[in-house]
Amino acid sequence: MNEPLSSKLVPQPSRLWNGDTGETPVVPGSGTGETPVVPDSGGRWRALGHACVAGGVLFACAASLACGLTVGLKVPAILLAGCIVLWPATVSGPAGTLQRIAGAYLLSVAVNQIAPHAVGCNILDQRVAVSMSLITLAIVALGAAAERLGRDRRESAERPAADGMRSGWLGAGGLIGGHALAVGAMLVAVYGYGYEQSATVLGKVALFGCLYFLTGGTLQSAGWRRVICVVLAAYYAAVTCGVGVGR
Amino acid sequence: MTVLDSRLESPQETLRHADQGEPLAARGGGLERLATVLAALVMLCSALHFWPLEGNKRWEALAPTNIAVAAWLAGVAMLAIARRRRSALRDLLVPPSVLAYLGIVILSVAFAPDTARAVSYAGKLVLALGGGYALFALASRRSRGRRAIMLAACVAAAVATAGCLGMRLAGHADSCGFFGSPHKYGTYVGMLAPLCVTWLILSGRWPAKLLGAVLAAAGIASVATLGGLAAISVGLATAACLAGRWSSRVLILGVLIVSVGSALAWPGKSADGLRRDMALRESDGTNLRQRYIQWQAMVNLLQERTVTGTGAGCLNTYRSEFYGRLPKLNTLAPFDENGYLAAAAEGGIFALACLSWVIVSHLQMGWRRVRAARRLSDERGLRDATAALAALAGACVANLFSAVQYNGIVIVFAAVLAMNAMVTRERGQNV
Repeated sequence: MNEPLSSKLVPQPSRLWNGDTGETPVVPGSGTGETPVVPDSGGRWRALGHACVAGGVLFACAASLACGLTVGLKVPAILLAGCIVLWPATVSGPAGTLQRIAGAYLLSVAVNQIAPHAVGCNILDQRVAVSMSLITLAIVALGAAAERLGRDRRESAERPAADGMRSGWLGAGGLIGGHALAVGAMLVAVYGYGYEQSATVLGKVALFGCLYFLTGGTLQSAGWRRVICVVLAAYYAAVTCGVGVGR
Repeated sequence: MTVLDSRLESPQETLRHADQGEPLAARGGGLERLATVLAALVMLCSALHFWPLEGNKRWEALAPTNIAVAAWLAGVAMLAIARRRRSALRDLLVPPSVLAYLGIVILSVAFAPDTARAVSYAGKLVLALGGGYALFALASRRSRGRRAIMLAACVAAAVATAGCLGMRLAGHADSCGFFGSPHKYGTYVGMLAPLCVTWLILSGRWPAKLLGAVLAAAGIASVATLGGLAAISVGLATAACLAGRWSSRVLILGVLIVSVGSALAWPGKSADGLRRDMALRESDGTNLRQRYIQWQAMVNLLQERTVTGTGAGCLNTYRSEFYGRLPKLNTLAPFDENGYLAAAAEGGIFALACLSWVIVSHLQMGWRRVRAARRLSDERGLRDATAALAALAGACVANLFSAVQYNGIVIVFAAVLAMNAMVTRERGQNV
């Protein structure tokens, strides 16, 4: 209310992606740089997208607890402690990159737990089942698409594809694929089997790579990252207390 | 690229620092000298591996290399606390790619069936890779420091190869000198030989060139593994491609061809071991080498534990459950690993992605340094950058047949990474 008029007249810098660092610069006066000063339709789309991604995280955690853990966690308290990394309101720099990786990892652990479970229905006497991990990916992808829709044209044009982890994911996929091909070929030549599980592994590498990139925008937003932090912390606290274990 | 990446990676950023002429000597010259001494000491000690108490877990954890890195980190921390010198702490920062990899390894402890083992493994990795990287990055900032480290590396490579060849000449045909495993020895020499040989041959002086040629021949003659031979060959071929002068290229390629040809053609136990290791099948002729079945087992393991992995250092607990077919012959030697798949199987797919990011980003940094040195006609910079990049290329190949991230070897890997990312802030020297 007491804000001087001059501050309202000062044009707000647009939140452009910095081509060098791949980070969103902080808007002066907005604290974390994530809260737009003037709400617009783009801002609403972005908020909707972030909420959708957070909903995907919530779905994965809830489904994991409901279905039971498929991979045992010996010391879940370590992952609970890891959630603390997501809380600080860092936006840019290496700390921001590490936060995005930690957030995507902690989410992916939950998604890995629900990957063997599927929901299905009968369509024209055909049983159709979809893995819960794919449902999570679909929700997150919808959110990422909405968030992208909320960006203005200039933002979309200047946004880099990803941070340095892109080369890491490409390298990981290439290494797994190369090994699967080479060893599978040798096994077929000598023993008559091979390739059986390699395609599934490659598909999962793609799944988690996509999850990493699709959650990147939301995990870069300090406010929404904290929401995800709370959801993941609640999930790992529940696992630490024994919920979902041993089913 | 993140802010820290650009600080460590970009030659332009390096130029900016050089132009600003930060008073590094006033800021931390003593610290840098200490880092240089300790880095040279660590490099020398790495040649002895865990000798004389190989197999003793306590000694392996408290090896001189790890102790030296821990002492340096403790000293810097105390200095930073006592004098409130935040700049000293800033110098310790390692790139986000390395931090991310170490972070994932730490988080993967949550899934390890043997928590004590996982904590021990993760602790050693953080100390050697994180601490070692910071130590070598600071020590190699100035040309004097780099020279000291390279001389120590040459002595270490000579000691390791002389120890191996000496033991074989003394009648211990399967000995690897100070190293208990031929795969670990192959990985060690696979990184150090390209580094030292390239650095010596590109020096421009004939005694150094001769020494480099002898070291290359000794390294190739002493490795009895496919991984070691491939690492040295790829490393030296990379050096030959990057070397500025045609005479150096021809010399490196000539040394490589003659050495590999001699090692394979020479009758003897070493050549036999090499030929045996390069075979795709076991000696019975019907079974595929267990190495490849093991690789497939690690890929199979990822189907169920894609993100979680087995937990840091706990690969052996689960791997046997994922063999598609049990090999008839149990000929698997320790550390007959694949470092990439081992990282994925232990830390999950995120660990492999981060390790891949570490390697790719440092290859890019090394390549940028080579280009910048060429552009500035900086002979000394080109020599250092070429040697470091050749060693990293060797490490990438060696990691296919062993693991660079295991204790005792990882410190040399950290040194190679740091030397590819070094930022020189000396006045007048831009690369």
